[in-house]
Amino acid sequence: MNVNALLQKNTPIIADGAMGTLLQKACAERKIAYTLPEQLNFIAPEIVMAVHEGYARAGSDFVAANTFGANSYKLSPLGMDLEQTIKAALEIARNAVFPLNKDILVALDCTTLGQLMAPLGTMTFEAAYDEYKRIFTIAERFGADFILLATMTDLLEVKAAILAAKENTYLPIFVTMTFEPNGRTFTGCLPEAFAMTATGLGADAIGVNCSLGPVELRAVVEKILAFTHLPVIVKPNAGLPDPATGIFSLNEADFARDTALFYERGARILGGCCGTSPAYISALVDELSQKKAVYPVEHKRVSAICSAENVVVIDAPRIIGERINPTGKPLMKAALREGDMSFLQKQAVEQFNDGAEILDVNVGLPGIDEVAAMVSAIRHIQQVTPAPLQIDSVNSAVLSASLRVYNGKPLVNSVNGDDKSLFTILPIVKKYGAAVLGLTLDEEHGVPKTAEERLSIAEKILSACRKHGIPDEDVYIDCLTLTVASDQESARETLKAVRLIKEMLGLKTVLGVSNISFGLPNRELLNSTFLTLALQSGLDLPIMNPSSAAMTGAVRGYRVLAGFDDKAGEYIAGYSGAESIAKTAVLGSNMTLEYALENALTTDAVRVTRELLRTAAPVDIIDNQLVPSLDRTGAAYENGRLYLPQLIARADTASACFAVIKEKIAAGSDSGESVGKGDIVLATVKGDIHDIGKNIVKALLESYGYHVIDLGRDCPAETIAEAVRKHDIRLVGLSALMTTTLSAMEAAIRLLKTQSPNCRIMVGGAVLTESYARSIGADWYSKNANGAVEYARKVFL
Amino acid sequence: MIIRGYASLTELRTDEALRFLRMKDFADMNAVFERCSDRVLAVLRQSPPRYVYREYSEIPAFFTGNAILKRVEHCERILVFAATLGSGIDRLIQTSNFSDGAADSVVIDALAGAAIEQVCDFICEMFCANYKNHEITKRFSPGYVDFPLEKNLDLLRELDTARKIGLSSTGAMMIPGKSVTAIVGAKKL
Repeated sequence: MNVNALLQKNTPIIADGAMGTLLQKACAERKIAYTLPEQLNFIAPEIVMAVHEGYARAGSDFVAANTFGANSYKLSPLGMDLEQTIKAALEIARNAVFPLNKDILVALDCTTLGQLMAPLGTMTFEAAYDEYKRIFTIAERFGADFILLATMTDLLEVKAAILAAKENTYLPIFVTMTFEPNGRTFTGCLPEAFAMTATGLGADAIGVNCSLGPVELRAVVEKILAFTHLPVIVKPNAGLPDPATGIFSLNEADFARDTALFYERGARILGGCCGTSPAYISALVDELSQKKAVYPVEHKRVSAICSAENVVVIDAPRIIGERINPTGKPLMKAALREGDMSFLQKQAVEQFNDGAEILDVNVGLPGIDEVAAMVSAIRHIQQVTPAPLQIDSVNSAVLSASLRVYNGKPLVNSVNGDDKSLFTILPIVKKYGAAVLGLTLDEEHGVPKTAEERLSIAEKILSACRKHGIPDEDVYIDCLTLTVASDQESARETLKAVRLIKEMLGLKTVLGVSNISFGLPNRELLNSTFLTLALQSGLDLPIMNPSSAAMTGAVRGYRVLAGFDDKAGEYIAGYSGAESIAKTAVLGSNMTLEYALENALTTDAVRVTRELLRTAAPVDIIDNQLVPSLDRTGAAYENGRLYLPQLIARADTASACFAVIKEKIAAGSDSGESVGKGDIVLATVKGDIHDIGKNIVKALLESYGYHVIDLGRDCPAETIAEAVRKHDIRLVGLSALMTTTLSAMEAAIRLLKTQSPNCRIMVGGAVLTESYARSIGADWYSKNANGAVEYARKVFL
Repeated sequence: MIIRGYASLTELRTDEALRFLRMKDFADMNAVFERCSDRVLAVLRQSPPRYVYREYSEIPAFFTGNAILKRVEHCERILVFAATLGSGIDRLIQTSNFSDGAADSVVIDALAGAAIEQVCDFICEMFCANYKNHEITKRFSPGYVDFPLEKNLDLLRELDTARKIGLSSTGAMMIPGKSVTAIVGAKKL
């Protein structure tokens, strides 16, 4: 039998149960000591074999070899060889089940590599992929029937593993994750997000193991069943452990009764995890023999995209935030050219807080490496927001690279009606299990004038998607908004196209809304009126600026009126803070900038700055108001009259004022040139993910008007050196918090000194001292953030 | 035997957070502390702090160096534990920097530092309650005196922290960031 035949069975498929605890028990009896269970493949293979035999006799259709921890990260410290370990384990399992003549399959058991992946940790996607590739190719070579990837907690690691299996072996892969009582994995991943992502990536069966007992797992299993058509695996623990004794709460019969229920709900592969034994599996087999065979469960088709922590089901109008796009935005252009992803991160967080549920990400800019920029943007944005992303590019290389590292199931923006677009992009969309947005235009017609013509392009796109195996619920159509100023008919045709495509094809619709008002005054009014009409015509996903109160309000209002917002709960939540904003505005009507700054009243300070900018020159506001006020604040901190958080809060306020001033200056030029007092590169060195210190320094430097290019944390020396070279930087600040990363700081300084000898380097961080800083070649040691400002003033004198 | 569990925190020890920030009082930052406390607690409600421990009646093999050996000398029981606030807090520290500024981020960092200490206190109190007529030694962690930081990897492996509570280490630092590993002993009085 092979895995395909196994999955065709119309009776329950029985997995095995716990391994580790049984090995522990047997070894304790025989006084065999070991650190990793995989060592037993060599020192006590008969014990491992007995466990497999037990499960095989109990009725398991497959057993998982003793390879759970077999990866280089765990084996190398003990001097064990990966290949020999996997080979030995597979042989033991094969030898255990073969004599029983029951056609039992042998799986490679595999789990997380035990290193948290970036952005939470430091293991890269590529490193995880390479290690899984190594493990899986060895397993295939030594005869595993399939891969059982279990007890996973990080969705991105799951993705690396599935891709490693699919791209390098012919082995089927079953994947189970482990969930906490709060219904999420340790890293926050939701069962629905796991189900839709792993299904899209082509896993062969998915489900849950370990975590909890069968009763506690019900809700999690229901969610997985609702978001996949694949066979679902459930391997619960034997209930919950007693906190004092560690003994699990369910006996064999209770475990079997509760676990067998999953079969009736539609799960097809059942087994056990911690606390179970062959007796539990035996009881489960008996219990299941009394259950009727369940035919494939009707799988409800839902349009949804997700990040690991957040699922957005398109069952009501949802806002796509449009602001991460350099078109017409000089500051965004500058940030992309400089590789300053913190600017994009801030845009992402703001839009999410303002009500965007999905964020469009476009980094297309002449002269930049779009592949690298998009990959970096996605990583950085996913680090700070749970909003699923719409990856906006028509370049297949950009899409391939970014879909690979995206954590979850994204929406690809976009394909159009041209064969070239469809046949280049759709295979990539399919491979990575994404959803796709089709634009109703093609080379021949441009944007067709009539709604009917747009419908016909949408039909062509849908048919191409079907050919590529992309399900209808993952196809979205952008009916295209044209500028009403140039053609008044066009708005009506767009609205009609939305309705037609929705009614005739049943697809979800998208529109970039703001285009409608281009060239006309009071754009927000026109935008929100058009948006309301479009929603009424069936628009599902407006692409818009969520910070426009009128437009976000139109969507929220429509949701209430059209019955999408139960008891107007979201509407109320969205506006409950409005009162306090109004209050500040009244109180602050006579406020001076100095007062606002020295009391860290950001909203007021920004408002006063805007007022001042009407009459005063930017440089006057900076030199006569902002800087003197900051100097007083800095002095108060040095004298112990202000605490650090107070100093930072005031710096944040001043930075917000500078941002307003910069916008004003930048609005006069589209060059994206920096407008501050000097450009400074800041980074936390390679290996270090502590960035609070760096962020404090950044806040202070920006408050003084310096333009900070923030290269983030865990930053390679080469990236720092390249940014310095490319932008002709005169001052770099490096931060390190741990003694273990000081060598990375030294390496970065060495590289900078060779490549850009004129650039000054200041360093700081908890473990540094003045003398150590000098010894590694730094030009300045800054004991606190004020010190960094002091040095910047010297450098940019 | 390895035991794992969850701690529930209903309020944060702001006095401890003030101490981390070298602040004697809230000054004019009452509102910021309040807002930040709410956010930290909201994350911890959604994903409660996790811990794992193991009790030993003999000194575990990975203990090295005079300091720790002396500390647990004559102890009847030794408790080795690890606790983490989880990755949600790491993300909160980062996002708050973008949504509310570096000051909030710094305050949240300090409050989270206080929270993980509270979790450790909770674990130690449970241990204390089981060994009433004993003197409980002060907490000791890898990296103190002559007990090398590298031994933390052995400790994490010993407690199977990656699997039990999602706590791993790059060798140099623990991830999630707000995590503690420590050892205490119970000495018969």
